[in-house]
Formats: sequence, C-alpha cells, structure tokens
Amino acid sequence: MRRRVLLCSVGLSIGLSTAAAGAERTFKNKYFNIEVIWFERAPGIDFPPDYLVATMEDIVAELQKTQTFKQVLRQGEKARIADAPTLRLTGVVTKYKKGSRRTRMFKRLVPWLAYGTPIGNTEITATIRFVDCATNAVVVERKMTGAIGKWAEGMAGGESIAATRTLAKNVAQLASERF
Amino acid sequence: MGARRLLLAMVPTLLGAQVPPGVQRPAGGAQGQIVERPGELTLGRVFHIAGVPGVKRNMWGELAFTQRSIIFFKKGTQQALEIPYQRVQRVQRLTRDRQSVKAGAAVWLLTPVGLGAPLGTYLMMRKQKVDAIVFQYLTENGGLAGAVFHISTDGGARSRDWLERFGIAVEEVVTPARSPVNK
Repeated sequence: MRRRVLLCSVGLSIGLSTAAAGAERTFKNKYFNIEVIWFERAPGIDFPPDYLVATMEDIVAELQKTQTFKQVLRQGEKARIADAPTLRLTGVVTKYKKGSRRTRMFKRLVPWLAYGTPIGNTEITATIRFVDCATNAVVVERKMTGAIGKWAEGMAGGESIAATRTLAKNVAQLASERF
Repeated sequence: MGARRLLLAMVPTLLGAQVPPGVQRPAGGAQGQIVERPGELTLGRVFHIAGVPGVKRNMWGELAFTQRSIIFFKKGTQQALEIPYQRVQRVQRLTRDRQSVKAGAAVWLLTPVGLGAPLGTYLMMRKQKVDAIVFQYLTENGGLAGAVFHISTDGGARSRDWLERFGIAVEEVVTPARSPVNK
C-alpha cells in the first residue's frame, strides 16, 4: 500500500513538473534580441553606483554567455535587424544588504559561533521584468536575489560586490530557461 | 634556510610593494605610481572591478587619461578599453575598502604552521581605503555602458582634477557610515 502511494506521488510530481516545463517552453525561440535597461533603485534603497554598474555589466556578460538571444543590446543600442522580436529586461532593486567580508571570514574561522546564519552576507534583491517590446506586455516577472556568503565560497568569505554576479547568473539562467 | 630567505623575499611582493625582476610592467610608469606627463596622466596598479570585456574582476592594469580619452591598459600593456571624453555620460567617485586576501592567504599557507597564521589572518582582515571610480558612457553603437575601477585615494583626486580640466564633472558619492541593511 505504502509502495503504491509512493509510486502515485512520484508519478504525480513527474506529471506536474513536465506540465510546468511545457508551460515555460511557451516563449522558447520566440525572441531574437534582448535589450537590457539599467536597473532602478526602489525609494529608500541605498544601492551604490559601483554595484549598479557591476550588476548591469554582469547581466550583459552572463546573457551573452547563455547564447539564448542573437543579440544582447544595451540601453539605447539599435538592433541589427530592426523588426526582429525583442525583449526588454528591466529591474528594480528592492533590497540591498551590505554585508561584511570581515564578518564572513570570521564566521569561517570560528564556525561554531555563526554556522549557517546569514550574518555578514551581502544580498541584492531585485524585481526583474521581461517585457515584450512590440506589445509592452510583461512576459515574465520574478523577484530574484544575488547573495554572497555561502560556505562554498571559500575561507576568504567572497567579495561583497560578487553578489552582483550571482544575481546576473540567476537572471541569465531564468532567461535561458524561459526564452 | 634557503626556503626561509625565499619566503622573506616574497613577502613584500605578496604585499604588493615590489615587482619581482623580470615581470613585465605596463607602459607608462612604475607600479602603483602616478605619472603625469604633458598631456597625459597615468595611474598604475588600478584594479578592474567591472565593465572591461575580457578582463576579470580584480585584475590590475593602468588607467591613462589623455587629451581625448580614458584608456585602460590590461596588465602587460594591452589596451583593453578606450572611452573618448565626448562619450562619457557620468563619472562618480566613492570611497571603498580593499582587503589583501590573496596575499594573506599566501602567507597563511606558505609559512610553517603556526608562524604564518597570525600574519596571514591580519593581512586578510586588514582594510585599505581606495577610491572607486565609476564611469557611465556610450558605446560606439550608442548603448549605455559602465566601468568601475579601484584606484588609490591620491589617484582618485588627481583623476578628478584631470577630468574637470576637460569639462567632465566628477560626482562625489558619500556612502552612509553604517547602514548594513536597506529594506
């Protein structure tokens, strides 16, 4: 009996996941280009300008790496083929936790004090929108986070600004999954 | 004894104070120095943070300010980025901290157990004040791009003075003293 329940639940989860994957494949190969618009800061968020520039540059670089789109355009750049279906990526930084590398290093040196806690971690959260340029309709909207502070990032704790790359990688992964 | 001597000779190099003989220096001046010639200001040992294609984060090079443009030279004299002044949209300068993590880790690992750990830990934890200089500019295709470099505080002030001579205003960004969380 227990075995049957287990088999049924496994089958159900496989079915649901394939259905979800099918729904996500709707936009596959639909868009040729993506235009990356500079992110905005939500009111009251003190997101430093160097982090903003790093975020934008990392997103452009990571999107180029995925090869999901024929052209990754920067804000204001003209596409080679003007009529090609284009997506616009916009974002608003809604949370920024500065963190401290020193604290992260200290956490690694004395792990029994703060193992697994988010103390000292750097976190950037942004609401990402993929917008169809032709219709101005929001195709995908997702809250995404880039963080530094995992134990896998080594004894040195990882640079705080590297959180921008984590965020960029997550955005690029989402783009390659959905488009 | 020989290994000890070698290790002692390596410490200043690891701390970034000297260049071992035979290492190719970037064009324009000694490492970490500011060289001002007629019509050119060159900052040595500038750390790339973001924005230069094909150059990794924290790779260092030289930043040269000429009469017409800003040029970043990758380590080994290769030109990696050139921004003409007319394409510069915005320049910001802010104070940042850098930690000599690699040097500290090297001292930690290379010295015999027990001796290198305190010095290595100190080096890893020590913070050095630098200036982050942020450029926003238009690419040849009209796209908005950015680049971030870490330079010495003196270099930051000199580059600001240089750019202001060419009519480019440098915004001084004051970061809040202690605001670890913004929600």
